Amino acid sequence: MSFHRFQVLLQAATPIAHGDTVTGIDNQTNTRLFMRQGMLVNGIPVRVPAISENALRSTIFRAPLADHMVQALGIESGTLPQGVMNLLYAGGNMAAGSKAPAQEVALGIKARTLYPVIDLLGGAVDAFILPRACLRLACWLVADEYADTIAQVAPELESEASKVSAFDLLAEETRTRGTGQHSGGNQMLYTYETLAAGSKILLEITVDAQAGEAAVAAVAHAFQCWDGYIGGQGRQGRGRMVVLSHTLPDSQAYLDHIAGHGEAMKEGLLDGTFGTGLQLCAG
Amino acid sequence: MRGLRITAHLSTPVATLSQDGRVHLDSVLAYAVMRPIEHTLPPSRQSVQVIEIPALRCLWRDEDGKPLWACSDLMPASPTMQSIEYGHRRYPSDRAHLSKKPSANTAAGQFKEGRRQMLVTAAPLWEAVAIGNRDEVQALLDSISHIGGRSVNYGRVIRWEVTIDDAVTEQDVINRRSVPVAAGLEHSGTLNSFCGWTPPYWYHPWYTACMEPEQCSYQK
Repeated sequence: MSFHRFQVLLQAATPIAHGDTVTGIDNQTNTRLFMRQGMLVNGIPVRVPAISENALRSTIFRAPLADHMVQALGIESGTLPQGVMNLLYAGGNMAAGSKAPAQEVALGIKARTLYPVIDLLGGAVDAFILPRACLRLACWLVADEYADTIAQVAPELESEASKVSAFDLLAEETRTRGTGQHSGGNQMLYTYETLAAGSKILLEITVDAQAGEAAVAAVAHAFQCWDGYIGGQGRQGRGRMVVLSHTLPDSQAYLDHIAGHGEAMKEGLLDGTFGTGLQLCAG
Repeated sequence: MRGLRITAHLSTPVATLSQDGRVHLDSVLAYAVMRPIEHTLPPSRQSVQVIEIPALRCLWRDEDGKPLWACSDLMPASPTMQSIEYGHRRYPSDRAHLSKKPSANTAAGQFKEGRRQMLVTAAPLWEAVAIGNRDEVQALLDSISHIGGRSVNYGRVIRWEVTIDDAVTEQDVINRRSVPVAAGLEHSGTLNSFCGWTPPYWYHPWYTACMEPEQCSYQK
């Protein structure tokens, strides 16, 4: 096998609010639709309720692992260069007019070796994009529209998937946004679709074989750091997930890596060099 | 080397972000060849070099030795649905307290927030034709889990099928891929004056006038 592959079966303990990103062209209602994905169901093009892998990448992996690393290394508020903070939590951006150093690939590989999180999730420093990230995600609702795929990636769930349509898992919630004044109106009703509590989501995690042992272990550690919420309206308790089963590896190698390289990792973040000897993120 | 028919069974949409909106099979195979030896390559993107793919027949080389591989682009071989998906980039203001400079200009510059659209194509089957060694091509493709752009989240391949099909000829392959005019090969497509034809397709200095396929799908 040329890559590591793990599966996690999640179940919604509360309804999930996960708004679609389409504009009024595709959504002419006043209701904020649940996230949908274009796909073919029995050969017919349909926009089917789905969970954005891009969102899960940030929610389950990027933010929890960055939070843990910052805490484990003892990094204090107001000490990180702006570009480093942006890379850790949002993937980073290149600066305008920047010019990549000649040895950018070598620098990127060096940074990835010291920081398993960067190896896993990639990103950009001020002057160039780091070599390709090792983590890939795919996720499917355990629902009839996805049953053909689930039959191939997790056959044990096929029968369960074929029993319910993803559209039957949708409901609507309406809330009121007040102004603080009981008279005078100006209250706003807003409605959004949710995915029912009890819905199941199969998450598949693929990690390149070339990823370091600590990066692979970081996948498992991310789930230990994750607060268990996905989607929006978390303040209202929406999107609380439970891990029903998983095939994740042991996370110890990642913790050992941080324990063994903590000083160098901390120094590389604080000076923006990521252990390369060259400042990659200023500010 | 024999005619091959290559089918990718997809379970998530493909983000076709390449300049020509296609998925280049020779690029996929070059990546599969390159990945295990990446650390031995020149440590700079400026030093682009040819990645040899011994599993494929080489149809032609230009004067610099760049190869035209005998494989077509991957195209949907089943009904498709194209749609637009949006990605958002935000400044992590909820963690800005960690930064030496907590505030940032999110309207312009490095930390500008944005909404970017992506064209994605959902099709359960994608197909290409090639001339090559079946077992070697299969082994290379088995190391590829995702195809297309933004492959961290799109283009999950459930399995690759590589079958020998002696009905596939060199001309079939040529008609279904970009071919430099300088190669002098007969092509049924149309002229594009500035086009990629060999990996890496993002490297514009290697672009040249090419004949391109007119058809966008192999579906019959």
